[in-house]
Amino acid sequence: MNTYLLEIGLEEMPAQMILPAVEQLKLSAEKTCEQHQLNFNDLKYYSSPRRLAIEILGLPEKENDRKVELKGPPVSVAKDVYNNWTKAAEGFAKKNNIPIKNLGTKTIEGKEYLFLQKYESGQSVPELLQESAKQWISELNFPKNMRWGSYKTRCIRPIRWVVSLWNTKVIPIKLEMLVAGDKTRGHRFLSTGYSKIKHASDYEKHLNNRKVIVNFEKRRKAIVSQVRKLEKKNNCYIKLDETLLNEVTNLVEWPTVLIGNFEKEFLKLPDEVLITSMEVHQRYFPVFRSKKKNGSEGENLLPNFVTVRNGNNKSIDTVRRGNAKVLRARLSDARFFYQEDQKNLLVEFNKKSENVVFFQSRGSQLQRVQRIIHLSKFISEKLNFSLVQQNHVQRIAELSKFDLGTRMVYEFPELQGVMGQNYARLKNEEDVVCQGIREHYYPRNAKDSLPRNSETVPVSIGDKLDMITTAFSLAMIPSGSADPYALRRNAQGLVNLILGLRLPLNLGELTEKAILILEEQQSLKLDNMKLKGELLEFLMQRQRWFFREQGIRYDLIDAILKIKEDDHNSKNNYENVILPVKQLELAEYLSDHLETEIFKRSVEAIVRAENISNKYPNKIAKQLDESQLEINHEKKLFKVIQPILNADQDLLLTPEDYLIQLKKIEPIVTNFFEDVMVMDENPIKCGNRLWLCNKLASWSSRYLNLKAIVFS
Amino acid sequence: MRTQHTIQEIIILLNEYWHKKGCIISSPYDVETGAGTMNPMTSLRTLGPEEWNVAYVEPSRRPADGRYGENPNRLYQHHQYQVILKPSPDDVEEIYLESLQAIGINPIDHDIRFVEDNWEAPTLGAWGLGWEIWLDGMEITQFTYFQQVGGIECHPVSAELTYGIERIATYLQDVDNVFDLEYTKGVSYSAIFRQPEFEHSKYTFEVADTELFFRHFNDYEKEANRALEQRLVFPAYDYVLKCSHTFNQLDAAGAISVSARASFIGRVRNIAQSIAKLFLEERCKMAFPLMKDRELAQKWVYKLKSEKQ
Repeated sequence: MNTYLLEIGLEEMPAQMILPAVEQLKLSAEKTCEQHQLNFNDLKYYSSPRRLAIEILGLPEKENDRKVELKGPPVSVAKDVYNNWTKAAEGFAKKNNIPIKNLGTKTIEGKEYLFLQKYESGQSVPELLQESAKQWISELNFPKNMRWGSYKTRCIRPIRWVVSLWNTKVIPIKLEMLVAGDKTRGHRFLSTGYSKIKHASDYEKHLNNRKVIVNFEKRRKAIVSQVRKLEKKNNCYIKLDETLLNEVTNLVEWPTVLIGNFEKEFLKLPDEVLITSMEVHQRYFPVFRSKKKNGSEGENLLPNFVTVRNGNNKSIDTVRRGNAKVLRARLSDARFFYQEDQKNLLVEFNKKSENVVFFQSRGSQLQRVQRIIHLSKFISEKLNFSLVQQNHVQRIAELSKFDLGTRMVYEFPELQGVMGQNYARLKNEEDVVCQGIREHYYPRNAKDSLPRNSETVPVSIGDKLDMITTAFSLAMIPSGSADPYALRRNAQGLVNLILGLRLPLNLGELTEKAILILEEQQSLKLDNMKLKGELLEFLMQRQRWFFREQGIRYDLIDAILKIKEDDHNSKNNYENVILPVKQLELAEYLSDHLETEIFKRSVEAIVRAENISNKYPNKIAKQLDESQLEINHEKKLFKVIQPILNADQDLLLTPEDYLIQLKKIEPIVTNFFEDVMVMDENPIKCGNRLWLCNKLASWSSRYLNLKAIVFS
Repeated sequence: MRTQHTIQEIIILLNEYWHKKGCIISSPYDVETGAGTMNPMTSLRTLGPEEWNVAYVEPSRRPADGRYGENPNRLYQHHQYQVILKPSPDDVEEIYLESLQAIGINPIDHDIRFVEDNWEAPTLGAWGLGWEIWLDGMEITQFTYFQQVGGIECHPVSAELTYGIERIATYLQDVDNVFDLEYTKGVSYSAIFRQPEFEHSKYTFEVADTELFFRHFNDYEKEANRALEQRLVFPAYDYVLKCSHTFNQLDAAGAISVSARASFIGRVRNIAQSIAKLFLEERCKMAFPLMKDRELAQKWVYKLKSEKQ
């Protein structure tokens, strides 16, 4: 059995590109093996900042032989009237290099053809790989490629060497700038020059001897275990952010973890500032006294940092001191900003944002804040907030974006909200306001928590609503994966707030208000109907997503959300649209009753009523002629739907009552269809019966479109 | 052990090293620049097919970074050591690392990393891919493969190495504040630069006549275009540099709003792109005299001429 090794040696690749790239390489190799029906025992893949490699073990020497059948000319053409071979037959035999008498025949669709069967011997696998592996390399796809030197090739970073080994033999792939060989390079500083790999299966060991842990998982584990040792030794907790750990693993070939320290006085800075400086700017891991009870967060930051050196222990103190010096400089800067920012009043920062454009031709950041204030007020009134609460909402909205003007957030954009809370606290703003400034950004992603205080919620909704409304007003509607302003995330946040907190808010009203505020402030004339329609459609997609996340069945989601769509099309009563929370409640309740016998029968009965009344819209009576009701079961049906007919059309039953009504109505409808001939010859009787069906169907369709439900 | 080189020694050692590697050792430019890249020895010469290897110190003005000489690592004017290797050699990383050894940084005693950093100069219409080089966590060099300059694809590609001289020196001399650096034996950085740092900062933030700068910007822009009309590449480019510095000065004084910013940058870039095109045309007329392979030079001339038609 044979082993093939391909290693592409590059200059240091961007950390986050490495794993996707080696995955591509693996898929290309698998595709080739599948196409050529090559069986193998194992496919291993390796990566480091300077290399992407795969090792295919247990490959055959050559492809399987193939039986090939070739169709020649029809026999009628291949032989003349004297039964002699014609030129056509001779040509076919010659072309395939076979004596003419060896040709067979075969009948296809009633016609006889000359036929030839031969065995093609499979290609040798090394030969095949010479072409394929070259293709794997050229097929590597990166979001940003470059050229180098005088070459035309594009790649993520310059390719400097390639190893292509079939057991011990080189398969010399020819690239524009080099020919593949058997020589690799070890660690940049802990080994010297090129070294020859003896056998393709020696790869991992060969590199390990030259101070490269070429397996990503092993390198990652090496870092984690060194970190755990440090924790034990120093009796502390080192927080390993998953993304950061992966990034760091992809920045080193031979990791050595070390711990350093900074001056205690820097601990006076907010934790978030220290952690951001360490994690984001320096790729350090922060060190805590202990781990919080629940989760991976740390408690009580210590004046230490942990970094991973790409190398061994030599002169480790120099490295430690160097890193400490850099961190100290960063923290000194941060402290300077922190002190400078505190010299201003909070509202003064808002004034600064007068000159900051939010969206071209949609005003400044300051004007955006004013829109958020208006929207928050509207929402808190809708939610029946007390006056005290409304005042808090107003203050949170006013201060929601002031920190974007601070020097600290200018330097550390990821600290928006966090610094706002911090500075507001220093200026003695109330706690609920301080928290609101930070948490009005919540939820920032699917896993993020919702704001803790109800006073934050209107601002949080207003912020997101204004964002998508403003963008949509400029026709910036996300399509495909392109969503530069994270509008989907904003819309999802908005929907999650309303549904997660079960707020009785109407999306139609909200979007209308947001458009109005924007129009008035910027003196615009927008196509309101179109804009509103686009916004609602966008939000409904997010609502669908939320329902799915709750584990609600697809068909039930369709059934419940359909109603809204229809209402949009009919353009009439936006205000009667069922609130998203009501839809959620109904979906949750029905989820438990969906597969019950009684519900199934109810659906059947009502769908039947709906179908028939839809089919003959012109025959439905305008008014029911009670005197013409004659059959017992139609009288009963009329009686049982009385409560529905008399009820306030704007009020909805609770999900429980809706189901109770269904249960009451179902047997009567079922009997009705059994005993009553709806399409009676008498137009009055027929009109009456269709009227009953229609009333029932339109009542139920206000809740959900039962037709969409698919029973298992 | 640390080698305590003075700033002057670092410059001399780098000059010596790059001289041995066959570079032209050039001088800083005599018009204000914000970076070594702005010097025409880089910005223009990286265009076109001619070989070009050059190294020089560039005092770089960043008005917005002025801190009255009070901040330990932010300066109105800092010093870059700039190297251009065109085409980028296959062993360019190794050559670079060897240059660190030349100034007393032995990689085996440090943690040296290549961390992705992509570079863009919007006023020049230029961009490239590469890294920041970290020395024990500190960025000491910007390493870039130029992909485009003046909106024109670079063929061949240059490697640009930009060393931050003050940063490297604070490391080698183990000080926390640039003003504590030794420039040469017995003369401190502070003795030479603190006064200009203070005065330039005060001028930029408190004294500069923004009206005058706006006027100058318009004048320089006009003059650049006038020179362009006469096909005078280098004079036109000087006025681009003046525009660029004037813009930086105004920006630092907070005189340019965010929306106006983009339009100012666009104006400078437009001229820079015309100049880049003109530079190539003029070099082509001269049949690319710096190319050693004359046959290849003729091919390029032919290629560019046929592209033009």
